[in-house]
Amino acid sequence: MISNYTFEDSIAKQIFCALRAHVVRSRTVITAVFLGLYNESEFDADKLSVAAEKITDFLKNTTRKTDFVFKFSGQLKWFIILSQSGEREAAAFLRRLYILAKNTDIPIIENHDILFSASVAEIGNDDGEFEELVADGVLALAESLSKGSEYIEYITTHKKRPVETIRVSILEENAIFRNALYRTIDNLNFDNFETEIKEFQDGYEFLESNWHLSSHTHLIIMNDILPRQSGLDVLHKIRMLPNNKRFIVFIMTKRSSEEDMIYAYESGADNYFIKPFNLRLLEVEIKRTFERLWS
Amino acid sequence: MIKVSIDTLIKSIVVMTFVLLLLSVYMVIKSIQEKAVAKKMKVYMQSTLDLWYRYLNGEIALPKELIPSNDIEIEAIEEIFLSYINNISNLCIKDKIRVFSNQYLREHYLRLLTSKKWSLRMNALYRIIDFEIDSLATECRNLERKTKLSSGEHFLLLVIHSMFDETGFVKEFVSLSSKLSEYEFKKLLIGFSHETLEQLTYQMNDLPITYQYYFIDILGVIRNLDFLPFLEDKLGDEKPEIRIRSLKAIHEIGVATDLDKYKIFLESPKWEERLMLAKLLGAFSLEQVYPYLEQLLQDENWWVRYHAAQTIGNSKDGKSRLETFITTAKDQYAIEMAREVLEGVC
Repeated sequence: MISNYTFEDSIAKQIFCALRAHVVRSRTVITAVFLGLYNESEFDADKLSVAAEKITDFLKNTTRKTDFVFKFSGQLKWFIILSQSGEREAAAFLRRLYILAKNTDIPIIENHDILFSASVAEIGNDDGEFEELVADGVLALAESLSKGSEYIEYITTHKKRPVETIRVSILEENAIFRNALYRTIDNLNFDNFETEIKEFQDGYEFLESNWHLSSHTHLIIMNDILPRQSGLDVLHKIRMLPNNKRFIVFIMTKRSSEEDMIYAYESGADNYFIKPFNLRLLEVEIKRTFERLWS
Repeated sequence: MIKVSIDTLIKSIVVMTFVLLLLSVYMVIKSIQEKAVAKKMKVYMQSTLDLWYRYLNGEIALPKELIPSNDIEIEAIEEIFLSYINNISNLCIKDKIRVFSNQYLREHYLRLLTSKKWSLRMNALYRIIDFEIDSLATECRNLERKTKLSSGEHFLLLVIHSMFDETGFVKEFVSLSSKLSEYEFKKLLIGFSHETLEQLTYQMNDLPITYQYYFIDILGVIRNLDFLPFLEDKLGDEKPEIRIRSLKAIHEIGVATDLDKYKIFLESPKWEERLMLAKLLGAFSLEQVYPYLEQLLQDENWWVRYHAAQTIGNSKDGKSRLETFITTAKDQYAIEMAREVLEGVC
């Protein structure tokens, strides 16, 4: 269903589309909030436009500088874009807003309670039409308003994140352990990621392969000591590459001295495992690391 | 000058050439055999590695294919188990290896234990430890009673004894361990559980004095706070070396609570005790211990002065304390030391 709604500010669509285009690249979700006045009927008809203006100002003052507030033309409904916020943060924002609206005296309409209800859509991809989102949002808002004041209705259809391919390199001399690592990582299930795993016997083989030169986010799990070219050598080399932040480096070692750990972290390691270690620990560390890629 | 006839020389050359030829043939055959074994092991590993992963991780029950049918497969399994044990810490995997080894590798290692070759016996002992083959504990105890044992075998048998009969081992600890080298003794202790070590603290005085030193050293290496009261108790020992090593072990643990227990070392005639005190005072707040550190900074011994200055310099607000000290103190040696620490020379 495509909406025919328009906004008082004509750049709403442009701003939303610009922010949405950035969602996947920056791995940062945005959230669209559709806000409606629950007790609209309590307001005098001749004061409605002034009230709408005052509420819009109130909303603009309540949101962050990185957020955007747009009023629907001819209706007491607002479209708010919360950049860098997910569904959960949007819900927290709305709860704060509901309390603030009740406790704040807005000039001219101070003798009315401001009671809102809202619908919330987290945007996790850059597909889909703006008009489609607005139609979904307004529909859900109507549902929310019909349930009463201070309700939040969630729209999940725009939330799905695209599946991203992450490269995983295992640099380990011992073929048996290398196989165990491969199997462990290959068995992992991720909601929004798929992995391309490759094994290497040493640092030289890895660096010569050019496998690391793609633009993928790249998890490198490597032993510190390797024949021909050590793990720490590889670490230094990849940290010298442009755009090296796409590399996540886990170092495995038999050495447990704190000095070695400090040196590895200072050289750019993201995690450090002292052998023998539990593979379940490696699994959760990988999952947490991948989850943290999106904010 | 020795005279050798041409005939003898030719004969010797022929004999030597023949011996060399035989040796070369033997080497070639041996190499071919080794390559064949390595190839068979590789093939076995390639075909079973995934099965081993699934079995050891509890995904499947033990498949028949994994039960070894010859020595090559046992050798390959040994390699697989060692890779898992050395790289992966997981109690379930360890237990699976233990159960499997007790069931299917026991006879193999029993055979090796009675071998005439020392290297094979040693290999068996190492694997009994690695794979925790407790069903061979009695056989190992019997072996322990044999007189003709190398020191290496004796040590490994002691490790096995301590693993499979900890209570019995603790009772005999003093008589069993006093033949070990420092390295072996410490290696043995470091593998003990916390409970065993705690029990051994009661027997420490029965050990020869050098072994008492080693015991205290290991408590410092382990860095377990539970041994702090024991070590603090040893600070009152009449033997200076026990006191010094206890101070060192407490410093390694990094925690000291009761300042009164340490203050007595300020006036110790042993500079090593004053040195350890200078290091240990870093565990307290500078506010609390500065007067003592200032005294140690003016000590007659260079090392004591050095560590006192380091402890002050490494503490919060320590640098300003040293700066004030430089302007107010009269001891030129102490001032020099404070300056060097401030300038980062030391």
